[in-house]
Amino acid sequence: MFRRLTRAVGNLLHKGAVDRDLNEEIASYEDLLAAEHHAGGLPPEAARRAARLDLGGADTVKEAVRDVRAGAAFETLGRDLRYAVRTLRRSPGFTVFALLTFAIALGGLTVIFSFVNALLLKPLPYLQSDRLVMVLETDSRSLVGGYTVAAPNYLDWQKENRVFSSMALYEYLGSNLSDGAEPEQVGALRATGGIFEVLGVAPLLGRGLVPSDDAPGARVVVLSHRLWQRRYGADSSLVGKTIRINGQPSQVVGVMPRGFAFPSADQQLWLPIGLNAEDQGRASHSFFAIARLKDGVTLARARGELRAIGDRLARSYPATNANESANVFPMRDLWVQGVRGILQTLLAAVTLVLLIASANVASLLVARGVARRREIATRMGLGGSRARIVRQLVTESVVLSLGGAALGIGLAALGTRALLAVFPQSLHNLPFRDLSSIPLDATVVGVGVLLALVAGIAAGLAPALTALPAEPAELLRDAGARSTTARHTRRLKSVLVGVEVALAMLVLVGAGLLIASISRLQRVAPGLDPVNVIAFRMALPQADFYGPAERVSLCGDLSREVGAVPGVVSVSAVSHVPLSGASAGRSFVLEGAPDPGPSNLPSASYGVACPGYFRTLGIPVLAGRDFSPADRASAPPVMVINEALGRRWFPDENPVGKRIKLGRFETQGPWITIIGVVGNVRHGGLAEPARPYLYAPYAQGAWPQLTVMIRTATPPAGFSPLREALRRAAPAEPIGDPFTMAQVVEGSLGHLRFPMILFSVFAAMALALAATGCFGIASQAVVQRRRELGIRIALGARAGEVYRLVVGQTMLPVVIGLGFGVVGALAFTRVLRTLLYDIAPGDPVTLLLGSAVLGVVTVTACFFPARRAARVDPVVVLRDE
Amino acid sequence: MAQQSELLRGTLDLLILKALMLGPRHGLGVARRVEQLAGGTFQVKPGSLFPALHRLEEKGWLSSEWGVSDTNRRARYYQLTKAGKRQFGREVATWGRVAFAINRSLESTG
Repeated sequence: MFRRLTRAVGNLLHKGAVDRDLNEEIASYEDLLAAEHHAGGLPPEAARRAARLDLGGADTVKEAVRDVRAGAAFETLGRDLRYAVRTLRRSPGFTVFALLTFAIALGGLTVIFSFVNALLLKPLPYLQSDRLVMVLETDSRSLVGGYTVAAPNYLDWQKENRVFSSMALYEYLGSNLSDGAEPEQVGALRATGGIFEVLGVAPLLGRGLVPSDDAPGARVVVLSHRLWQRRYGADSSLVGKTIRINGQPSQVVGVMPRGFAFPSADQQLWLPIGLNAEDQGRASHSFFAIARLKDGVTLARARGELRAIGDRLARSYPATNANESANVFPMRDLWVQGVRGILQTLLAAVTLVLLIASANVASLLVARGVARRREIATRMGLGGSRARIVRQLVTESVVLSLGGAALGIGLAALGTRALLAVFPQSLHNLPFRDLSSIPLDATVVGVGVLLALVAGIAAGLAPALTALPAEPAELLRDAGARSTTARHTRRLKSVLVGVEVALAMLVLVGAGLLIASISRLQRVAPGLDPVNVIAFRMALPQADFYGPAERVSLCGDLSREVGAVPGVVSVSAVSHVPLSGASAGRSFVLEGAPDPGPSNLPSASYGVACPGYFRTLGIPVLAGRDFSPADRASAPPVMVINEALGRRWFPDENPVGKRIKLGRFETQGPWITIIGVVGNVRHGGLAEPARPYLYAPYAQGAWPQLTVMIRTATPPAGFSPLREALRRAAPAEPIGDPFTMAQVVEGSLGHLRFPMILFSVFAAMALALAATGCFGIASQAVVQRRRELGIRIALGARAGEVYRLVVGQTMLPVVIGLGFGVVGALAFTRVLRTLLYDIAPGDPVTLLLGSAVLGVVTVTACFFPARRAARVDPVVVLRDE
Repeated sequence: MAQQSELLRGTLDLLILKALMLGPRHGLGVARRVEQLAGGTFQVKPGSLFPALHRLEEKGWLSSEWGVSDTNRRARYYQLTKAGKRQFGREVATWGRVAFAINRSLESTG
């Protein structure tokens, strides 16, 4: 069979060679014919003509041969397929079960793989995206990771490097669009001219940003296709016109093509970088740099060169660049670093499920093989070769797996959509066309079908081989459990069940660890009371991130208008939503302490709030007081600190009344009095411990974006009274959609929720498959030993003994499987390490719990056939014999 | 030239197997041997000979390789495989039964 299979494949692969061979054969036939005619007395020319006449059209002959060749390869396949479908139709229960088993496993695999394909494998939607890198600053002592870039350092890299063909610098911004229609806030980027050339994407209309736009004060803008369509009705005469951005007129110079996103679909405007005085400091790290590697330059060489430049800068500017250098990363690596590990782990888990599914179908096929022994023996007796019958049996399981794949890929189309709903929000900020349409493309479907083929062959081969007896006569003779064949198949089924249990254990323990992590995280006190707090984002006119506020009366307006809405307990606003991960940082110095030097300054996260913020969010004021309307711009500067900052910098004294200064020792700035200490809030998310935090009153330290926080007495029936009140308080400011703090707390679990949900689904599948596997083996054992059990019952065996006999026999592979599963889980769960919170990968309680669940479920599954066995009527059984 | 008659496909296959029983032959050699076996009652045309040879090769009953003819020309030689020899035995038995049945039915006076 193998030889013929290789030849069939060979025919397809080397069609050209086969045709040449055939041409030669026919030419040689003609030669021989001509020689014959010549020997018969014809002159050479006439002999050649006669031969050609006899041949009767070489092309017709070739065509006929080709038909035979092609037909033969597919004829047997077609016969096998028809037979397989006919056989499967005769046992619909088995067929449906096996189809569903494959469908679920292959569907799950296709869903996960479509994510892997879209996020990790497909090229990013830029020209030769594997040549794109990010350049970040790095700590020259560790050289690990990187952080945001100071503009002057970037300009030096750009001047001195010989490894990049182009570079660009950018920073994220929020921008207010206020022209005619409802004012709105959209994500934007300020970037150096030539950024689109680095990415290798040309604008659809007009031009991109060019180097001459870099000069301060250039008022031009490039729009995304989406914004152009949505807000400006795809008006192609828009280029050249002026729109208002952040209150300033800006000329539209270009529109990017449909589907272009950089860095993510959230950015809808690209503005000139307009480096201002604050951006000129080498300590002012707020930018990202991308670059394109020159042809032939390796990542290692680029790294080496940038490090050398960075080290030179550190020597030239020790005050700001000490211990700083530069590092280069492939762009995709940085984009997907949060999701790569999760997806790889999930891919591993779903592969385990597919293996379990294959083992399960295999053990069902073994059982069928036993039942079909007579059919097989008859076919062998009638001259069917062993190879032919094995191929027939494997064809059956491949039909099942491919049918399952077809169903599964259909399910995957739905599953992908469902999965996006639980996809971590932070991962939506990836530079992909549109994450909401993760495609089921040819690669994904191809891999699904290929894996289905492999799974089908794997599931079919072992049972097919064991189902064949050495001698067909043996099959016809033997009456059941007493033959060696039956012993072989029973052993194979036991092994398969053991394997299923061991693999299921891995997935189960993985799910258990993730569930434990989430429930531990949920018990973490966030440091605030999220119940009945509603939030609206709002953008404010503000040229810079430092005080004082341009919209002086905002806090008072909010309190007056929104505070008057019935049911509102208190209202305030804050620059950075707690638990969302958003943060700003400030360094500071303590009054009366010696100058620590520029590289050892105390630093803390920093936020700006309206009066009543701590009361509104339920953050306890531990000492001193909350902000009040009296802390206005003209009043003495004040700040509130959190407990962590107090512990760290005022360990033995009451911080209230102490003074600090933002910036460095020599900075010309006011001394700021600490007026209160509040409880710690987990600003970076539930999994992050609270860090030192500084709060400034909005009137003294403005911020261009605030989130209005509203606490209500009961869950509000509708948001519109609140929104209307907000409109009255802030008529010109864009206001976002409402969200609740409870959602923010939930969202903080997002990075874990995604793998946890999937792992739980996979674990449920694995458990169900392992249970059906055990059920199957127990049922078969009962059928095979029916006579023996009948005799035992007739001789007075009690039901308990029968249970022990049946369950005991099936439990051995389960127990061995559990043992291997525990050992395997110790290794497998290591890959989960980075996802776990407050629990070790080899957590003994989880392992024990996993074993217990798996053990109980599988024993229960064996119990049903055992009960049937105990009810065997000995009279009936013995009469059957 | 002998009266031409179309052979049943199965008959031609059987005759090809028979023609190769004594050893490898090239295509024309097979054709001439079959014609000889049939006592010149029909002619084997290339249009049916080659498809039959390739079909039998696909079934694994023949194998082929390039060689040199007695007139010193390059030609493709076919020979029976083990499976081919077994198949020949089976076909002969079947043929015998079929031929017997057909003869009897044709001879019967009804």
